[in-house]
Amino acid sequence: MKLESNTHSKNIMRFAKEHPETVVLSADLGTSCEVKEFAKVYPDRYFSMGIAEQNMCSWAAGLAREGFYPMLHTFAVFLYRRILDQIEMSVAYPNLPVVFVGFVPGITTPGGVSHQSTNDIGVLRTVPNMAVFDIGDATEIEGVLDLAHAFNGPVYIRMLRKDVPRFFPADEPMRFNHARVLSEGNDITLLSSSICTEEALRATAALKAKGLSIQHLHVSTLKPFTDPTVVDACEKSKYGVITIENHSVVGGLG
Amino acid sequence: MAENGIGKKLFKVGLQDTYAHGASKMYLLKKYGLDAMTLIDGAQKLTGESFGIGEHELKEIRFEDFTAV
Repeated sequence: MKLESNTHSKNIMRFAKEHPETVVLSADLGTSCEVKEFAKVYPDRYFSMGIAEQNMCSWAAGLAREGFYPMLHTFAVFLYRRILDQIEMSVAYPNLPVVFVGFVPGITTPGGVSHQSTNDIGVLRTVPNMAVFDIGDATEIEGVLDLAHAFNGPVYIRMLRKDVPRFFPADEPMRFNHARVLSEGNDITLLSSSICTEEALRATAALKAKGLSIQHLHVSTLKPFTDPTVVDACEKSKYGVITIENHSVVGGLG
Repeated sequence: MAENGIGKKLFKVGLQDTYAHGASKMYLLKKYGLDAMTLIDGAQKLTGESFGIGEHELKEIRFEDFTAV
């Protein structure tokens, strides 16, 4: 397993070059959210909005209406809990193409409960028009902005930063609403997402050595959640289904 | 699952309807049961078998320093 560093930073530079309408907004956490390089290279497309996420969200809606492609960068927790009304009224209801790039999702922050986005998928799955992606490795970081762009509506991404493992081949990018099959089997079906896929791989190696046959899928599109691959996998399990996620068991993958 | 008429058991590993305190990822994964051992426990509950897998049999957890904001 190879560790990749600052993959989002590299990927957004590539994406911004291909899509000149891309603008980045940050809420005083640009350096912590891997958009420092973007701000340096594209200062006229970078807006430091201060610790005022609700204002940042309404701005993004206005920019989207004017033909820009705004990408909001801050910690995931500030991109759903604090600004839900602005998300719903300014962005989701008019179905505008705005990308919410939420960093340090779930428990991947030392900041405690004020910084932990542990029910963000549950909340945002209920928001109409919205797509929700949960990133699990470096290959997915490289693919997710293109999927968001193709979706052409409001998108929430649970993004990983700094050193992120690469589990999936770089030439097999993430697919929209399509789980990745990591092992085939029919005793148990295992669905994993986010950083928990790494834990799932540790467990499946030991369980397979004991003779258990496991159908393991990595799921990164949490909304829409209509992937027939997941339905088929659940159907064929002899004993049942296990889900593991970096989120509350209520409202998320499970 | 219910929408598709699948009547299977479901074991959910994640935060069990609780807030978590602030600490390293490795510590929190273990403390709140989001880890490989909890998953193995789930497999044992579903199959009714005991696999006798100890933490030492798993690949070592990757150390990650999350102290930076």
